Amino acid sequence: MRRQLLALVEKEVKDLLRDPRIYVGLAVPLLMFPLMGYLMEMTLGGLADMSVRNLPVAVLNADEGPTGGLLIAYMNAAGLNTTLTNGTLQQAIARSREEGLKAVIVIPSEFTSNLTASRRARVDVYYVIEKSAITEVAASGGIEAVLFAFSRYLSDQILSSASSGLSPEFSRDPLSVTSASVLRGHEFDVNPSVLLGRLSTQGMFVPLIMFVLSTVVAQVAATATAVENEEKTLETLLTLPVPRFHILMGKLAGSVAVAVIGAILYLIGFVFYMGPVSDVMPGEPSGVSITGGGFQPLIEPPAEAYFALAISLLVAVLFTTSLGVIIGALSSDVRIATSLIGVVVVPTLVPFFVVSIAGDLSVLPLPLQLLVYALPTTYPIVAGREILLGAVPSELVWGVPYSLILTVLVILVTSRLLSTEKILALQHKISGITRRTRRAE
Amino acid sequence: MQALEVTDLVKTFGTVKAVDGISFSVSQGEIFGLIGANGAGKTTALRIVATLLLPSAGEVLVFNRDVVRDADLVRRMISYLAEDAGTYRNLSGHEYLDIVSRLCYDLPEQAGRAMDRATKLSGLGDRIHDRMRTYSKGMKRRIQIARALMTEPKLAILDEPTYGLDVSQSYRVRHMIRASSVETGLTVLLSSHNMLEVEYLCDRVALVHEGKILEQGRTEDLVKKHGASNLEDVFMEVVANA
Repeated sequence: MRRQLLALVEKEVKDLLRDPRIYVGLAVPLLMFPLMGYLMEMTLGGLADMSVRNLPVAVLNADEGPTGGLLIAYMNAAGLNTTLTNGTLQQAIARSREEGLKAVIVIPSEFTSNLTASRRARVDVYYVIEKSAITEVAASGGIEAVLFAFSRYLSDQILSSASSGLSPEFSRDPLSVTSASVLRGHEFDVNPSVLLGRLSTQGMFVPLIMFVLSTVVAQVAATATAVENEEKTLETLLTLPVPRFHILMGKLAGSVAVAVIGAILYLIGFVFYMGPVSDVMPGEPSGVSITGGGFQPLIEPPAEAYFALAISLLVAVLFTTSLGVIIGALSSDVRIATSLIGVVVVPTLVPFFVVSIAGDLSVLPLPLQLLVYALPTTYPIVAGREILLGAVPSELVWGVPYSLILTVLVILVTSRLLSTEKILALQHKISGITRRTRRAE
Repeated sequence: MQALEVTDLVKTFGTVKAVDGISFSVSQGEIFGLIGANGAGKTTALRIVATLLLPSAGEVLVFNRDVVRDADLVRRMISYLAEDAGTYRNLSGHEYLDIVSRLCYDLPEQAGRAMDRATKLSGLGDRIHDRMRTYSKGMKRRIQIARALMTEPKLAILDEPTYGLDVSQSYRVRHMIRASSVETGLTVLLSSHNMLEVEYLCDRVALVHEGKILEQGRTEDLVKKHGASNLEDVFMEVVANA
């Protein structure tokens, strides 16, 4: 019996892994994610460079006093590449467009006089945007940062000269506020938004695995089974002295094995993607890391939490694989299987989107909660999120046995379906529906 | 005991009666052929015997075992070759036969003997280790014939065994079937369009038309009865008068 099962699994794995179409599917994430990461790095890296270094700007200085000149010197020292210009604003803008300058900074004539009279002085900045690239936005950030720093510099000078004996820092910000969050009894030196940001980033890890595994495994199983129908090899297999259940289990195990390889490649690609992106992300607050693609719980969970996560993940993957086999078995060819797979698999991915958006399922209306909890793919996603908080979700106590029973039922139904009589009848009906749908389109 | 007994077999698909009350029996070691045009009901009848389809009415016994009630036992005694049976493109012929032998036998020695037989039957030489996607149609068919005969089944059900093969390949396959029948006492139920093939291979034949058997008997008896020169003439005359 074990020998038969091993032979069937071997057949599946060899046939799938040697299929060039599978290689394309497996290789794409390995190339796509690092490429995306590289592009992001280039873009974000470009942003970082643009914001601090050599940002070319035109300066129209009409100030009748010395402070305008001081501002220009400050901007040059901060890294901006200033070009002094004369004439009207329109002429300065036209020149900036010609020479690729990112903004025109106008220092009005009364700039110094306003400051000496203790009135707020104005600086007008006209951003020159020629492209819709994100780097254009970075220019505004860089210029505003420099002007803000100059404003603080002036403020320090004014407060010091007021001879009140108070430090400029104290005069400006007499209140020092520090934030900490106590999460389920554990203290973190960051405010809740940082903590929740970390949860959102890290919480994507398990849903992403679930999403990728579900999609890949269902597609692999559906295609593999549909090919057997198309090539009539399933017909031969069904006349051999092998239990239907073994044929199904062989297909499930083979598809899961290939899908796991695919998921690992996706994750390797994802880590390569996250690496370059996190390198150029802003600095992290102390006490908690908000970047990086790794799965690092905020509160170390008990060992059984990981076990519960693994079991719920396995059951969910088996569930989607069974759905894939059903779709493949009901499809007389691969084309029909491909068009059917989305219809059945996408709803099972609902938890991925719901949990990503809502965070906590208890905030959802009851009917939606019931719908989400009815899907075995929900439980690993919930488990993955709760593990970050050091807990084993109580839903798993009934959710995993429920998922297991549902999956076994689906497998049993699928194995009963694996008789040519039923398959042919259902394939005939589905082919008819597919043909009618295509004609209607 | 008859190797195969088919009694009043009926199979309907919706309103279409594909098989309409056919009866025939096949003795042990006999080669029995179903002859008929496309859509006559031959393949449906073979699929019922092969446990792939359920009869709508009637009874089919393989060595006294019912194909519906004792399907698992029947599958241990038969092998089935579909008319357009495909192969696993990414497996070699050797790997495929090896997997089938392991599915059919629990003991490695038995599986090994079946593999030796299959390798010899296929006659593919070293090409048996190549992926089957590189095989010609004839090579794929030879692998399938080898697969069908490697387990020395009691009853081989062969649907158009020389389907898509050229003259020399067909000749070789016919000899494989005949030799297996003689050497191992194999009983064969086959369908074919090729009258020459049927005349050469079959001990007895049944002429099938629109789901019914119009005539059955020994080839030479049918030819003599209708005063025809060959089985093809008999078939045309019987169908014309149906």
